[in-house]
Amino acid sequence: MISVFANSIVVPLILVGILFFIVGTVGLLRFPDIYCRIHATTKCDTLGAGAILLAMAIYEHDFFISLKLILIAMLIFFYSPTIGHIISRTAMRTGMKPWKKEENIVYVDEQNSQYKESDS
Amino acid sequence: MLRKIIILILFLWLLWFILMASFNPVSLLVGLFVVLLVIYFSVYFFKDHDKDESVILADLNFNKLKKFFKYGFLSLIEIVSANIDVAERVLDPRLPIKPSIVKIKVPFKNNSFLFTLFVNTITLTPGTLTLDYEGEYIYVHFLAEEHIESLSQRQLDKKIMEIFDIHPD
Amino acid sequence: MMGGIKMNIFFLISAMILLLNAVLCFIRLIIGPSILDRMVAINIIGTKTLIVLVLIAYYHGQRYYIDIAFIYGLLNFIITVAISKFIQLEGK
Repeated sequence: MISVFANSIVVPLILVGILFFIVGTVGLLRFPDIYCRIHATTKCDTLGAGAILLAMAIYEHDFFISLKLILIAMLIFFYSPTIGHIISRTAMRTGMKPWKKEENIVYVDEQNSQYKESDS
Repeated sequence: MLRKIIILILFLWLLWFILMASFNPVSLLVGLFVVLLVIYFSVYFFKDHDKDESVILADLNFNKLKKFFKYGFLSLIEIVSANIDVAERVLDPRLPIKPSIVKIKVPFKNNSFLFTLFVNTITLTPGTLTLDYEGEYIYVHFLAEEHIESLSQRQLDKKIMEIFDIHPD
Repeated sequence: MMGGIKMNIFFLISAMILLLNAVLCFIRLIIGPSILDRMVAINIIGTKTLIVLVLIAYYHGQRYYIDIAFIYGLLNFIITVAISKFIQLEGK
């Protein structure tokens, strides 16, 4: 009886986590420049991983292991924004230009020239 | 200084117990040895922070723990709304974004802990991403125009001040 | 007992979906215009691997996979910091 009650929380939480992971991946593939991609990945990773780890912590019977899972969730909660900040700061200091909506056609050329610069 | 180190030792030892999940004396002694080794190698990093108020671990009590839970609740609400916002924008076929970068002043000039906390909270609010800092200013990247207004309407700095009992002066 | 077996299969299927997601992230890893785009992709793949490790731990019933997941998360953070530092020191 208790396990049925627990599963009815665990399954939706995992599904929500997978949904937000998919949103993060689609954002990573669709967004035009690195800053917008970091927007998508930082937020979706935090909630997706947090939801799935919380679900597993509820599913687990051993208290210490579920405490360990909560610890991993807190680790992700703190390091995910920090990683986004580190990468975007590096992008800004190495002089990457943010994408502008009006210059939609110029953007393609700009991206290609950046590609050559950064890879050479 | 010594008090901080003792509290850090106890905190790390507790972490060791959570990771080991066993209470036999050998594990206890090995844990103490490892914790002392870690402290020995990392004491260099907080030697100069003696007068800095920002090292929160120095006086950990129940009241402060309650504040951290309040902060966690605040940021949880922000994360959920941010995710829904990002999901709407990503899955919309027209991709309704208009990025811009804005310079913002941070009220926590002297308290590096609250500065970090505030910047992390900004990264987790809808449509905002902290890029760089320069003295007491930070550069924030906005995903769309309406997020600039929504960030000032949220008044995150006042909420964090209220939670941690800091008065602006 | 029946519920336990069904939950096992559910965990396996969720892990597979996440792995498929990670494969999609590899597209960005390959075409990404700059190093930093690739770093974002590596970071998101690392987080997904962590979650897959936790799910597989419950599918197999081997709880020590969770420790490996923990270390994977720590490494994920340190890798990003190190590469960013390197790129900043090297210049452009």
